[in-house]
Amino acid sequence: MVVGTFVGILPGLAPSGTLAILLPLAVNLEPSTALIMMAGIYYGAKYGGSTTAILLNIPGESASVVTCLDGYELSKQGRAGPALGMAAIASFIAGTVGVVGVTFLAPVVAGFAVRMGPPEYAALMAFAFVLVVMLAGDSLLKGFISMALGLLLSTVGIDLFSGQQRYTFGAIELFGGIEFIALSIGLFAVAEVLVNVEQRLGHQLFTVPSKLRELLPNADDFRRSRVAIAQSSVVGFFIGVIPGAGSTVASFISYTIAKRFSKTPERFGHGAIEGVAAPEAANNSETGGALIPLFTLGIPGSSSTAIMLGALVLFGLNPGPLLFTENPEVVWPIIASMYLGNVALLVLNLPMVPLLAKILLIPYWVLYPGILVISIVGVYSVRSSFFDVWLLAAFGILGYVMKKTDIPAAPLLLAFVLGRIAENAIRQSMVLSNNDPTIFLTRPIAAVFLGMAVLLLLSLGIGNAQGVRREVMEVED
Amino acid sequence: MRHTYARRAGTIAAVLAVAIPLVACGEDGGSEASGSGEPNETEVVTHNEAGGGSDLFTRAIIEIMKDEDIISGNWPVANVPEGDSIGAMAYLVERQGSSDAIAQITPTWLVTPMTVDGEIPTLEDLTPIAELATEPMVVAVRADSPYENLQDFIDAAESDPNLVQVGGSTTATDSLTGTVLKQETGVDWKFLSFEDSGSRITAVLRGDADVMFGSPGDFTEQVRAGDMKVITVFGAEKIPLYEDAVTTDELGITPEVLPEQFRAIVGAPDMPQEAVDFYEQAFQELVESDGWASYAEENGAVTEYRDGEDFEVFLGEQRELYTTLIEQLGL
Repeated sequence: MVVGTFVGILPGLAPSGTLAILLPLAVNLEPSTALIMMAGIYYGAKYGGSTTAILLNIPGESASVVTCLDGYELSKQGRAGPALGMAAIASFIAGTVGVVGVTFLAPVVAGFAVRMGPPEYAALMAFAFVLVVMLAGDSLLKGFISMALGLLLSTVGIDLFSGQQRYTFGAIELFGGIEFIALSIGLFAVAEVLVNVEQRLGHQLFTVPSKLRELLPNADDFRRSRVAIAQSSVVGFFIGVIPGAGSTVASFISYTIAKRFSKTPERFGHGAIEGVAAPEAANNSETGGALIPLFTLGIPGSSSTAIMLGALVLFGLNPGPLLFTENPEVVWPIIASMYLGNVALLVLNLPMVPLLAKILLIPYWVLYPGILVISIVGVYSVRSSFFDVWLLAAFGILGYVMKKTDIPAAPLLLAFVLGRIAENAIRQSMVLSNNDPTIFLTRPIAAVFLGMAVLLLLSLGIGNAQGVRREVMEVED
Repeated sequence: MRHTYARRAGTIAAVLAVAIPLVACGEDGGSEASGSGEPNETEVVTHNEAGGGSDLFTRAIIEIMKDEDIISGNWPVANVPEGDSIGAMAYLVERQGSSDAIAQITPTWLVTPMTVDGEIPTLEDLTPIAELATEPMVVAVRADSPYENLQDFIDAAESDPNLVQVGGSTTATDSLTGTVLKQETGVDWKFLSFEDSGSRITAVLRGDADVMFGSPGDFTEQVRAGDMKVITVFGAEKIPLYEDAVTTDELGITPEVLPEQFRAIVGAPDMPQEAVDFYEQAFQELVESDGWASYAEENGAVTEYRDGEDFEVFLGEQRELYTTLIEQLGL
């Protein structure tokens, strides 16, 4: 678990990568011991991923991109401690909710995973894209520009249906699409460093927290965050159950939902503590959800659970519909260990908060090069590719231009993640229905998602028009 | 002003100076080990993400070889999924002359380069080592499906062109097999692509797809749980895993060329002969071991060991077969 936390802190070393590296080692242990170890790493990495996001604007793994939005703002305001603390506490609560979900709901929810077909995905993506609009910030137009860029970038790679290359320019590195970590770290961390170096802002960028009182979240922070944590725990869990959606989608969606239901949505993006609590909570309850299709169907919902599936197979176990009944001695200890794991991670992470926050005391001429070094090493290590380092540089420059022109980066990243899922789902639906779009209305779950999307769009368009206008004016003031 | 620019430039230069050598060290570490006997740490490349079918196969055979004391070292698996085998080939080409870089290959390694334009590495650049096994393709449907065998499905598709076969990309073995059948019978049905076999199985369970072609091992658990059934095996031989499933030969479905899923081992280009000899020996011991026998039975793999010239001839035949297929299908 300690390993997992460090893995999470090191950007680029994603949980799935580490699990793959440790797989040969794990095979020499008892099955349940090994799987508990792997679950611990999976968990720990998710806790740790928020650390560099909050402190340095470096998303340690793809799911912590959303945490950067408010987490880094809080750091700049000298509230890194409360942000880190809240991330750990939200992770703990939601992680536990996720495990409770696995314990009691696994057989019930498994059916839900099977019922999510292409039309349901497409409708869910429609709902998610409406949520992207809410991340647009002050200017809708700029939000759309950002989203369009993200969609454009998501089309790079080999097309699943025809096997044709799209915008790869013959580069083998692009056949599988653009590496998300290079894109997100470029747009966030590298761009941030470039802007700061230029502004000469950096004599001392951060307000240094001096008193210990400011190192942990206060009562006000908890009051603001409790609804967000509750919502996100549930949302994250159910998105986890859906194979293929993943923790990035979970954290994005719950962040925007928290913003939508907040009484003060204008604070989001400017250092709202619930903007840290929501994605971190979703990210961790998703872990529990993602184990359900693995344990009940033998179908992994994400790359990390795919490796756990691999481990089960190597132990001679048969992950499938019968796993719970035939191998209870393996499944239940893993689930039990996750309850304990959550407590252990909280105990492990909270005392580290003051220590980690001290990173910000480092003078800028050491810190900035440090951020760049961590970014480059992190991106390189994902798949040992120099090409990705150049991509990182290119996206750093893109991010710099976007910051200068005030175009938000979050819609781009969200559209990038959702774009590929949405495109495949729509095309698969069209194959099924012979190009008849009513398939999205005749399938009940799809219709519900679409209805939610329409309602949200209406509430944005009519009900909130005034609120948005007020928000814009406040910002302009 | 100039002063601050210089300082900024200095900061950036310092970063690059630290970062680039740091990154560069990782580049060629590990490829130097050569010599007789077992290489220190053989890296085994697969074109799957961790957890994919080829990845699991690769990890399983390494485990068996360790258990049976055929090898003593730790053989790490390198997952290079980019470009569906092209990235993996490029990865091996970079390790030219190395003794400790091998890959586990499938027909994808032959087919994908045929469908991609431009200067890319092909299987001919690599060093052939040995073929291990073939996996006959099987036909699976939902447990409550009305189809008793593949012919039932084809007959049904004749009157209802909306039936769906689910599978991978257009050049994958399952899709190619479907296309061959369509040409052979003149019957058409729809093909639905999913990236991973988990999504394909849920598509069948949900009823979105009527039939799925896959490896025998893909369906063992769903069949045991009574959610799916395997109704036909491609080729002439029945397989012990699904005794009740008829063969396509028995059904009288005998296209001239049928794609066949094989699993083989190749090495980096210009691999030293003594290393090739070592690997041939090791993999021959593998397929003769008890561990392999039980693995093959559980996963429906048919042992078919070939090395040296035999293997090169086999690869040549397979290449010809797939070239004809791709031309015929106009892909």
